[in-house]
Amino acid sequence: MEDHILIRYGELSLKKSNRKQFITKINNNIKRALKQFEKLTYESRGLRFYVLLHGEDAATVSQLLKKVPGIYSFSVVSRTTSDLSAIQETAKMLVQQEFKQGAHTFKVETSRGDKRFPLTSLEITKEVSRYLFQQLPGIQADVHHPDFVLSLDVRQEGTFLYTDIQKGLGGFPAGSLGKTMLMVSGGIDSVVAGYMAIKKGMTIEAVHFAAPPYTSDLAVQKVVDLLEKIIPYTEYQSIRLHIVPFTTIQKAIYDACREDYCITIMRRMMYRITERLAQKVGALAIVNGENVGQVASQTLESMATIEDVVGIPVIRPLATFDKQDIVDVAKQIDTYDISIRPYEDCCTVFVPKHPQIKPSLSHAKQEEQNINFAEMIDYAVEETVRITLKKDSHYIYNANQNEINDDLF
Amino acid sequence: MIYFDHAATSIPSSTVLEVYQQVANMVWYNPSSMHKLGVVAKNYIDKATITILNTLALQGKTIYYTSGATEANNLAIYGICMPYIGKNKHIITTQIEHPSVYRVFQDLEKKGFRVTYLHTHNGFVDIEELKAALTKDTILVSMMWVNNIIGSIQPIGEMIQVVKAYSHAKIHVDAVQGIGKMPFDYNANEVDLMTLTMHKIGGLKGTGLLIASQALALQTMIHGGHQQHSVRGGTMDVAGIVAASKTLTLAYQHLDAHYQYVQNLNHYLLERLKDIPFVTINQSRGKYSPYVVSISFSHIKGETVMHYLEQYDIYVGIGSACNEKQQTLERAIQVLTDETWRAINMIRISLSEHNTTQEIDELIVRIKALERM
Repeated sequence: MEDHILIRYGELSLKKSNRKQFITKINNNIKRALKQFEKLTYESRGLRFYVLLHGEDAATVSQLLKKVPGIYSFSVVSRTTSDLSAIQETAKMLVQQEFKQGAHTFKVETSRGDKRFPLTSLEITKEVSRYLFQQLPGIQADVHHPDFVLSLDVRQEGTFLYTDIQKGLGGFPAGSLGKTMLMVSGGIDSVVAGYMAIKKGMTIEAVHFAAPPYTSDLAVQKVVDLLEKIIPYTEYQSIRLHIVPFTTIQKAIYDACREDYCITIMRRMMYRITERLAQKVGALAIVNGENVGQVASQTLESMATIEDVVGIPVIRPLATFDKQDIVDVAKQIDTYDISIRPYEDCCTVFVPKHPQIKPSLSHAKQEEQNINFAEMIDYAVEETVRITLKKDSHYIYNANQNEINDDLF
Repeated sequence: MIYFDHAATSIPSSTVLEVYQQVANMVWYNPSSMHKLGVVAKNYIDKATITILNTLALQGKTIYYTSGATEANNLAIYGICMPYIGKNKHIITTQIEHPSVYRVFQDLEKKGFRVTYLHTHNGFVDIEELKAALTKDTILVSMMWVNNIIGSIQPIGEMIQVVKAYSHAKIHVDAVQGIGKMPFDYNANEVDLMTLTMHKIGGLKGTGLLIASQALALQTMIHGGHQQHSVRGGTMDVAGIVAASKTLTLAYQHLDAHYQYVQNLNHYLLERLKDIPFVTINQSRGKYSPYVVSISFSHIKGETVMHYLEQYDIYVGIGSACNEKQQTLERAIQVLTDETWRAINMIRISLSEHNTTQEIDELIVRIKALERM
C-alpha cells in the first residue's frame, strides 16, 4: 500500500551553516500544517522527511503539503523491506494500478543509497523489470518517453517505491527569516505579495486601513477572507491583522492638502503608521503589493517620495510583475474571486481626478505642514484593533454588531 | 400514537423548531444584500456552516444548501456529469439506490453515458465487481451508505480505497440514512460529495446538504443569482440553515447513547419477531443499521398490514405500493428481497430513540394477531 509520503527539501539544503535550524523549522511546520490528521507519524532522515499515513488519505494530506514553503518535491511512496522479492511484489502492485488508470508505458529507475544491498542499481532495475514483464503480460517499457517512471529508492531504513513526484512550493521554511508588516488593501496585489513573503520564509503581520463610514465592515471582512486563504502557508497556521482607524487622517488630508498630492500624503501616513506598528511587534521590514508603474502612487518618483518617511526596508515582491502574472498567482492561491468583490477601500474612496505621478519630496513635506498629523498618527496607532486569524476557524468581522448567540447552533 | 416510520421522516425536535422560529423572526434579511443586515444574515450562514463542518470533522469542505436530499443527489450527479455529456464517459452506481440517485443515472444513460449498476447480495455490493467495473473513463461512483429499505450498510471505506486506487472517478455517497444515527465507519474526508438531509434526524423538511470537496467544480443546476458560488441560485434560507446546524449538533451530542439505545431496541424487536412463524426477517448476515428492520409476511400484503396497524394508531412503512394492474414493483425492493412475494408482503419498522420496549410489545401483539387473517 502507498503508506508514506517522502518529502524532499529545496533551497535550504544550499544553506550549509543554518541547515540544521532550517530543517528543524520545516519539520515542525509540516507537523503543524498536518495537525488535523491525528494518525500521522513522522520520521526525519537527514535531508528527507517521511510522513507515515497510517490510513489517512494521501491525496488530502498532499493538498496541504503543497502549501508548506521549503518543500522542493514529495512523493506518495510504498515502503517495503529491502529485499528483492518484497520489492518486486510492491512494484507489481503499483505498476498494475498505473496501467489500470490508463498508462501504457513505463520505465524503472533505481537509486541505491544502501550500498550493502547485494545488487547494483542497474541489476535491481533489471531484476524488477524482468519480474514485471513476467507477471504482467502486455505491459510495455519505454525508456525515453514513458507514461510513468517507477522509482525504487533502496535505503537502509527500507525500500521506497513510487510512481510520481509532486512539485512542492519551494522557498524557505515559513518563519525562518524574520517578521515583516504586510500592508493589505483588499485588492488583488497585496495578498499575493504577502503570500510571496511567507513563501520566502518571512512571517507577516497584516495592516489594514479602515475608514468607516466611507469603507464598510465588508471591506474588512474581505481582507479577513483574503488572509485566511494564505494562512495554510504560514508557520503557525495563523496571521495577525492590525486594523487601523484611518478616517480622521484621511479627512484631514482631503480638507487641507492639494488635491493632486492627496494620494502621496495618504500613502506617507500609512507608511508612518505601519512603521510604528512594526516597532511595536518587532517587525524588521514592510511588505506591500506595489508594482512599478501600475498606478500614480507606484511610479519611481512616488515610491521615493513616499518611502522617505520610514527607516526600515520596504520589500515589494511584485515590483516587476506583469498584472496578468499577479492575477495568475492570485487564482492559484484562490484569492482572486475575493479580491474582486466590489467594496470600497481606503485607496479607492477618495481618488483625485489628476493625481501627481511625479510628486516631489519637498512639495509633499510642504503640504503636510497644513495638518497636525503627529497626534492623529498617535491616535491611529493607539486605537488599532488586533485580531488573530487562525486556520479552520473563520473569523467574522462585525465590530459594530451584536454577537451571534452560540446557543442557536 | 406509536410511530415506527422514522426512516420516512422523524419527529422534529422542539429545540430545532425554536431555533428556526427565533432565527426566522430575528434574521429575516437577505444574506446576499450588501448592506449591514445582509452581512448579519450571511454571518449566521457562515457560522452554521462552520459548526456543521466541525461537528462532522469535515473542516475544509464546502456545503451547498438545497431543498432536500433529492435535490442534493441530483446536484451531485448532474453537477459532475453534465460537462461530460457526449464524451462517452462511464459512471457507476448500485441497483438499490434511492430513486433520487437511480433515476438520475437512468436519465444520464439516455443522454449517452455508459452506466454500471452494481448488483447486490442481501443488500450488499461486491467490491470485486466494483473493481472490475472501474475504467479510466469512469468519472463518478455513487453509492448509498445505509439502505433506506432494509438498512444494509455498504462497505464505503473499501469502496473509496478501490475507486482511488483504480480510477480517477469522483465519489458520491448518499448518507441520508446514516448521518446523525451512527458514526462514520469510513474516512468521510475522502468522499468528494456527500448528501445529507435534516428531517430524518429531528430536523426540518426543506433543508438538504451537499458537502463537497473544495476543489470540485460542479455544473450549475439551478440558475439564478450568484448565491452558493453560483452553483445553486436562490435566496438562502438562513433560519433553515441555522436549524440544520442545531439538528446536527444535537444528533452528534447524543449519537453514541442513541445508537446504543436503538441497538438494544432492535435486538428486543428481532428476538420477538424471529419466533413468529409467518414472519421472515429480510436481513441475514452482514452489517445492518439497527434503525431499520424489514420483515415480510407469508400470507398478507405489506400494504394491508400497514392499514391494519394504523387502526391501532401504530405506523410502519411499506416497501412499495405495488401496482396490481401493472404488476410493477419498486426495483430496489425487488432486488433487496429476491422474491416477489417478499417484496409485496413487506413492511419496514424504522426505529428511533423515541421508541420504547412497551411500544414494541404492543406491535408484536398486533402482528401475532395477524395469524388469523
